[in-house]
Amino acid sequence: MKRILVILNILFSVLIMSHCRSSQERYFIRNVIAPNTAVAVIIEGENDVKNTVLVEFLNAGYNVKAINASDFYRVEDIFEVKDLKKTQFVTNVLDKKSAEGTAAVADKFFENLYKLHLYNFEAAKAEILTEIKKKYKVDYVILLAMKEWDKGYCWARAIHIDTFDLVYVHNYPAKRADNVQSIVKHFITVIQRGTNQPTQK
Amino acid sequence: MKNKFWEFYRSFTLLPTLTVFLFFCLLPAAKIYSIVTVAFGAIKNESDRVRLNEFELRLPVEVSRLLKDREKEIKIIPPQESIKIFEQKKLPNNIIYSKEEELVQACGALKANAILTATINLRDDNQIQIKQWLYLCEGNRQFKFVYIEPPATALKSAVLGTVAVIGQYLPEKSGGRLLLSEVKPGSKVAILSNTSPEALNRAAIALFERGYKVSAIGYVDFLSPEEKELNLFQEISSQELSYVGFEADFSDLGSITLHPLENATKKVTQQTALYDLFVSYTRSFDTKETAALQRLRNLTQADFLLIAHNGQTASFARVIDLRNGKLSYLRQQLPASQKTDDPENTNLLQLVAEISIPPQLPDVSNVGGLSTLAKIAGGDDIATVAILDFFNRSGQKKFAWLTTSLSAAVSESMLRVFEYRRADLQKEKEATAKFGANIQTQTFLELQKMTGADFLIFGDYTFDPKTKELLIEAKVYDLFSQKEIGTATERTPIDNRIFNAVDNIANKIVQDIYKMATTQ
Repeated sequence: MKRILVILNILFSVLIMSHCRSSQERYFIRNVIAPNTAVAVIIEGENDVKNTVLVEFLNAGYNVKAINASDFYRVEDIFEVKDLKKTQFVTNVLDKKSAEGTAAVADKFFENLYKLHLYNFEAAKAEILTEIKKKYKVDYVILLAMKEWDKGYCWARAIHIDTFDLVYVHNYPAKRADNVQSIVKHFITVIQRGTNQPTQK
Repeated sequence: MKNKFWEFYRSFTLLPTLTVFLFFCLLPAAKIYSIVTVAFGAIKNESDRVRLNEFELRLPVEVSRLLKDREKEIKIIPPQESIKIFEQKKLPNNIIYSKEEELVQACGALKANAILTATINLRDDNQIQIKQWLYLCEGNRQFKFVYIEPPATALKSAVLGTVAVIGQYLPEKSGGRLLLSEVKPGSKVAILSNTSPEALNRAAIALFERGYKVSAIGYVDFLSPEEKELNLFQEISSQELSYVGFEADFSDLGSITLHPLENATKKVTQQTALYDLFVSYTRSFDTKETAALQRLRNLTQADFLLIAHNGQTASFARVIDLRNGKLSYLRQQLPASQKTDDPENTNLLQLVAEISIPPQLPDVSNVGGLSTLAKIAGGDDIATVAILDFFNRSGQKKFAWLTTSLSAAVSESMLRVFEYRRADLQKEKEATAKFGANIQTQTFLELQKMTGADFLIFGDYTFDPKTKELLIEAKVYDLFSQKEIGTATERTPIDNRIFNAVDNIANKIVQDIYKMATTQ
């Protein structure tokens, strides 16, 4: 009986683990980003992770511009997008449960106001990228999410600032043998090689 | 033992056999009951331009014509039939129903699945604005579509939109999918979705694999929008073909206490100022939304914006063509149980697959024959109509005054709904004097030459002494193709109700002319 329980336990653990690792590596690259290209690398992660990432990009021959590497804070400390949104819109101006009735028009007014803000927020991001292009003279912005690399999740994106096109996306489930260095090297290999995965369904 | 076995066997096989038999017998009947009935409610020209009345008459005619080959699936109730039913049920007719209880009543009276109403307006920039409300009786939901088009293409767009909505959206009750224009591979698509960054990445890969470019909108930061933020995009009220829900009822605002501002709003003047602010902002929001979309387009050169809402209880999707502000795709229902952090978000992948399918839209190239709408923008293709004096068949001289009065009344009534050029009155008189009641196919060519008209209206009337009613009959002829294209008959007492009868005759004549124009 004990043996059966142990076997069942192992089977269950394997099932759970296989479920956790179900996400596949997927990427697509439209433009090769050659060494010597001026890139702004924005990293979501701790400062030691950021250093390792930047070293890898410098070693690979990129002209790396210090966009979020010139301070001791993390991205979310200085660039909290959610906060920026929330300052603009207070949803509870009207108490919907009030016995005095609901204010559909006022709701609509605030919704429209906030909706416009959401459009403008997206536009503002585009304007910021244009500013980055002007000030730092970079061609590509590379975003790396490394915050949860040790939990198996990290991803990379590259944006060509001139066209505002997304030119590279990569979902990478980190393996047991991986470390920050190996993951970033893998990303760099893909963006320098520019060969796509065979189409997966 | 053998017999018992067979009894047992029969009792078990009979039931499924009967079920299968009944299923196939009832299948055609079930199909009849699955017909979607769409009733046209009021279609109102709210401008002061008579020419726009063409929409009132023509939209239902053209829509019915284009859906004719699907009449086994979709039944159309024309506006005049809806009005009759409303009259019988003592419900208000010729109004745009907007209140929930009125719409529920109207659905019950018409026995319809959906009611379509519309208003037409001419804007200051000479563009035609058509607002269409589609009320779905099941589920008590209402959608509004707004089209803003130049006069020359407005009718085509409205017909195309209406047929697409009825033809695609209504039968697709389960999915609520409406594909209005193709999102062509090669174009640049932006995505806003409250999914995980990994799922957004995966959607971008799916777009790349289908040959699209992907705009960086939505990909610039490490956070995705929240569900409640995306909720706001359910309605898209840009100035072109767009989608919005129930309109806000401004009349309620005066009685509402706004809690954080309670003290301030106690003063009536302040309340009025707040009211004015809310109203003006909400009413002009379409221009603001259009400008915001245009700004996104200018900054990013994205062609389409895909909004994919991933909700806990319900999800929806929209695609806006940023090049012209029009709605390209609408999906009202998507599976709700999608985990937002799943990299393989099947909703998003399904959307990417769906938007790349070219829509099967009706051919509207023939819509708009004899349209006078282009005149608003400077063109002139107005038809010329000759209306001869009506012939007195009552045999009583006391009704002789009706001969010229009826033709004048029909002309006046027609002008209210149809822009046309009346033939020269003197030449009409000469034709009346020459042909009298002898209007025949052989005389059409000569009548055309005499009057220069494209269409001829000629009628007569008799008096029924039993009911003391006048029976009026008017025929409309196409002088070029030399054929009769319609007859209108009305019975009326000789009092002020005669004008209603004349209006009905005029409407029928105009509809016959439009029908003839659209079936050529």
